[in-house]
Amino acid sequence: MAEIHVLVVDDSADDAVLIVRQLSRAGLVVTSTRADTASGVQAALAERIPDVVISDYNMPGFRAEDALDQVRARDADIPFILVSGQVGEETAAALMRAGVRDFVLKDRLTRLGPAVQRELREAADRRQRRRAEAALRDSEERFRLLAEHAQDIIFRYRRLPEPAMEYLSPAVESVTGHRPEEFYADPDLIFQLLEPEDRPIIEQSWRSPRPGTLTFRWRRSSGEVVWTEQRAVAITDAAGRPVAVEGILRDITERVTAEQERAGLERQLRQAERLDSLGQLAGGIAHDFNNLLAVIAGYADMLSEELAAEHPGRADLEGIKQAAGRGSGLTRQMLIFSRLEPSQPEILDLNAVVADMQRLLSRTLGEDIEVTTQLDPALPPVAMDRSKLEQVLMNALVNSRAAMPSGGQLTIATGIATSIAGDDGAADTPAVYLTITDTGCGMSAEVAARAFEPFYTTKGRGQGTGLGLATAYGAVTEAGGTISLDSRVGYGTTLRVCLPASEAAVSPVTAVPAVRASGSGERILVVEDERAVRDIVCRILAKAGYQVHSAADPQQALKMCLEDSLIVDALLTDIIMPGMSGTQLAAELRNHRPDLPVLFMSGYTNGPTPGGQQLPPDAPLIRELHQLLAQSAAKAGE
Amino acid sequence: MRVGHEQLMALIDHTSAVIYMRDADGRYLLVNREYERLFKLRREDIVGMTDHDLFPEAIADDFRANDLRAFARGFPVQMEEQAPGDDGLRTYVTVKFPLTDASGRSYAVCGISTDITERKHAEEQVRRLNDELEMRVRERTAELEASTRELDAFAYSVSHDLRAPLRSVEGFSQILLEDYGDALAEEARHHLGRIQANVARMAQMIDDLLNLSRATRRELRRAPTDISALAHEVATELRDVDPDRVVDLVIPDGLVVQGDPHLIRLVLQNLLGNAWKFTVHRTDAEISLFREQHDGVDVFAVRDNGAGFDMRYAHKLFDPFQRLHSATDFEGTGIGLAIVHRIVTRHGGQICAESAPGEGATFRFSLTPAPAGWVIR
Amino acid sequence: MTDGPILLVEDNPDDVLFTLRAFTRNHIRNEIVVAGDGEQALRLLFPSDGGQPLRPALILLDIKLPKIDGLEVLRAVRGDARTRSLPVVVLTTSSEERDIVESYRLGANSFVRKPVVFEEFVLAANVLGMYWLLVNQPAPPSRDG
Repeated sequence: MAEIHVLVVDDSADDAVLIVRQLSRAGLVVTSTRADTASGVQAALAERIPDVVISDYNMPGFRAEDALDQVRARDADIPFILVSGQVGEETAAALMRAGVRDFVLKDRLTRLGPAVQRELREAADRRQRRRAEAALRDSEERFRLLAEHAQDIIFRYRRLPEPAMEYLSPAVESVTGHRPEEFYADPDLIFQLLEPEDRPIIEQSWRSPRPGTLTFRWRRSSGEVVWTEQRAVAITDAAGRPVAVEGILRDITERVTAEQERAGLERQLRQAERLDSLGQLAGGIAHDFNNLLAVIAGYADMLSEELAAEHPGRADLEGIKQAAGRGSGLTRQMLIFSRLEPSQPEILDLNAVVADMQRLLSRTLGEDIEVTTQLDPALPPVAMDRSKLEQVLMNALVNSRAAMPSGGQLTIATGIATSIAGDDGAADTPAVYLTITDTGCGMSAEVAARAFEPFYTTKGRGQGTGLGLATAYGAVTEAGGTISLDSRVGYGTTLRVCLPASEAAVSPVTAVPAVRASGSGERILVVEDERAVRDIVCRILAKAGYQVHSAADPQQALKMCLEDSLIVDALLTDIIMPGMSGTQLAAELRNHRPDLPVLFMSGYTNGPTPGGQQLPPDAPLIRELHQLLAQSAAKAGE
Repeated sequence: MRVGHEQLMALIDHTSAVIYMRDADGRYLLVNREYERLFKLRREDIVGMTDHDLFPEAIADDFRANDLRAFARGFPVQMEEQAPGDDGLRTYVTVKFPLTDASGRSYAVCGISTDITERKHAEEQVRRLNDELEMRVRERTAELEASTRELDAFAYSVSHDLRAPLRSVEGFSQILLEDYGDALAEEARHHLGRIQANVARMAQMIDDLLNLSRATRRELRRAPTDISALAHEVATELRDVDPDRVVDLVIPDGLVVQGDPHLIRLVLQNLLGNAWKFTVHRTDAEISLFREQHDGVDVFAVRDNGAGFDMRYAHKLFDPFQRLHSATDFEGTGIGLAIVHRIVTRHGGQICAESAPGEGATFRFSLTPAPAGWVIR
Repeated sequence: MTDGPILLVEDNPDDVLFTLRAFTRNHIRNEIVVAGDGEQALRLLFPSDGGQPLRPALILLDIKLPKIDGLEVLRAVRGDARTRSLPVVVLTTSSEERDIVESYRLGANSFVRKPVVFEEFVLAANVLGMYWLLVNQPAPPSRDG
């Protein structure tokens, strides 16, 4: 039991003793002081604050009211009990009003103990209450301070029984432009300020038992959008219904704008990359040019048949043919250079390609160049477009030839490379190398550094477009490989091509049967929008004995096959046409005839055509057509 | 709203800011849940401890100093602070304000710290990314310029190397016709004629290619340009070539834009020229030039009531040498729109087309960069 | 009518053929001397072996030539007092601004782009011939050489 300290204000020491004794008897552990003057009381209060003050009423020279005042000045709660012989009712009432808590008559002192106990209890309660209120005020104060200084908006929104914004911290003003009072006045305001799309999301979230974290947008009166992140919890009633939601709202606009900015920049970057359709331009031009040159060559060919062998105009005709051929060679270079010639990668055996080329080599290189090959028999295959590989070889050989005007040696070698780059230790991708070494005049370091640059040439003007190595570079890089030069002035040059090894097996070389000189009435549908090309192809086919139908565009071709029920044995179509492409046309027709042989003509090249996956590669008819056309084209180009 | 202690704690526990209270001696009085989570401490354990008990000296010194500043000022102060986190130092923006009792004495300081590490990271990252992207854009632009130079060289090379054989083909064909024309079979003469026609066509394409390359290469010089005046000039040119055609050309006055007059002229030549061409079969041909505003961006448009085209292929429209009509219907090498597209893009603008077969076409273009996300329609 | 020879500096044999034919068609009777490259042209104009220099009434000059290119020839011609005033018509494939600018800067009298269509070339040759050989008053022969 706690000890209490009592201040007895009484001029009689005996009375004081009696009072204290009475308290002890009531079970209280008491220490006490006695005072009977103002200064005495003051001193006693200064020395130790009593838990209770018991005062006499009748004291000479000192009034209980004054003692009361002094005590109250110290502490509003200390119970002040009057012990008196006699006090009038009015006086008693006045004293009670002044703050005396109780009266105990001197001849009823037994009441004192319980009275004091009761008063102590009540004083304790009062104190607690007061503290709680102070604490509450403190809390409120702190909360207010917190709310004002927190960057986040703190909110509490009540839904039931009636929707109202119960609390919004001041931060809401800088975010939305409206003061908290405005939200208190209009419970709907908070929703009105939301981005219309986001309003249902928030309304739903605040109705839910788990509002959680989500992102939404305000729209300010200035039109700006403010991105906000909410973290909230629901307040539920006893029945578990969500009656209110409270939480914080954080302005994340900066983060969002930064991300958007970044996204915008990335888009810009991609746009810049897309602008690189200039490369596409080159290919597009070359396509059309090739078409036209083919036409010219075709007509020249026909003229050739119409002029007698000794006709004096033959020389001029030769001029036409040769010029057309030069044009074709150039556009072909342009195409490969522009990297637009569709690649049809095949699984190739480098050694086989080199071997095939050897037959051409003597013609290209001449007698005075000695050619040796060092081919690794265990060479893994590579995946690359065959004609592009041949072009790379040709370009290299032509350069070597030019570097050895008075003859020399040329060595072609193949082997397994440790890696694509050839010089790091890491054997990441198995690779294959092909080198062409000549004993020509070599290049200086400056020239070698620029050798792969487009249009860079050391040959005289008019003797080379400077596209050869640039083209080779493009073709090799497209196939995933690397190409490099090693050269010494006066000694020669080695061109080194590295290609990644392919895991697939080399396709068996299909024996090419001799071409029949003519067809036997098979029906071919020719689809080509260039009238001139169409005419020529039809003419060639007709002459070769096929039955030819033609259409100027895919839509017409479809109509002929589907509506007019034209049955054909093969489709011969250009790829690039206005509207639908040739590949799309083939796909359409193959919906109805899955085994329809299709051959694509492309202005791109005289070689193998793109879209190879749609060719049944061993359809004899296709091969014939192909070779027939290839031959005609080759003849015209010579 | 009356906020009791519990509610207050609930609220400060919800927030993702770190909240704490220390007394005048720097001892902890209170921390919120975020604090607990961040520093892996329990509030019960931390009360009574100081920062020097919890953090490395340098950091604790800073915290204390900032606390004292708040005490000294008597009103809230804001600063950046660093504290250790899971993965290294994190940066916070902190507001510290003193709490005063009834007698006005500051007995505690309350701190609210918001983690801005991510934001700072993000800012730095964005800055870095922006720099990177800017650099990449510069690189790409340089590459593009290089590839533009390549195109130049390409166009130059093409124009010489390819025109030479063309000249030869044409020349010899002409010689054949002149010298032996009478003796040649009609078919042979026809073939020669076809050869010459194709050569002429290729030559035209080469010229177009050179034009495109020039349109690309030319430095863009912006000046106030009177589009109306340019359009009138182009219209006069068109009429001079085809004086017999009756076409209703509506060109309002006073259309001005900041752009390169020479290049804009090319745009008008192409668009008005196309409109002229594709209305050739109409007796009531109408071509109009007008301006609209889309979200504050000036958009110019050329509309005609000519042959139109199928919108299904519209995405190919601006590709070079794309034609949506066969050559027999309408002449042209199909490069004009590629030039227009290039010029419009170089001005920072956008272009789009709208049409239906038989119902004419409207080409809309802008010549000024637009706000992010704006798309021409 | 100026009688002197026309010096045609052209490396493309087809173009030589066409030019000769075009001038013949236009009844231009001046002798046409052909140089297949710049070196040859300079040797004709400035013989180093003491031979008689060619004094053409008109030089038709292609710019794209192997070995010494056309602009070099132009520079040499304009750089020598004996040939400085000779009419030089640059006859070439290119119509690139830089070629035109450079040609005029080095002193060409005229710049003509070779048309692809032969008929047009014949017309151009006619006009060229008419102007430079008939209408134009050439400079009096220089006293040095």
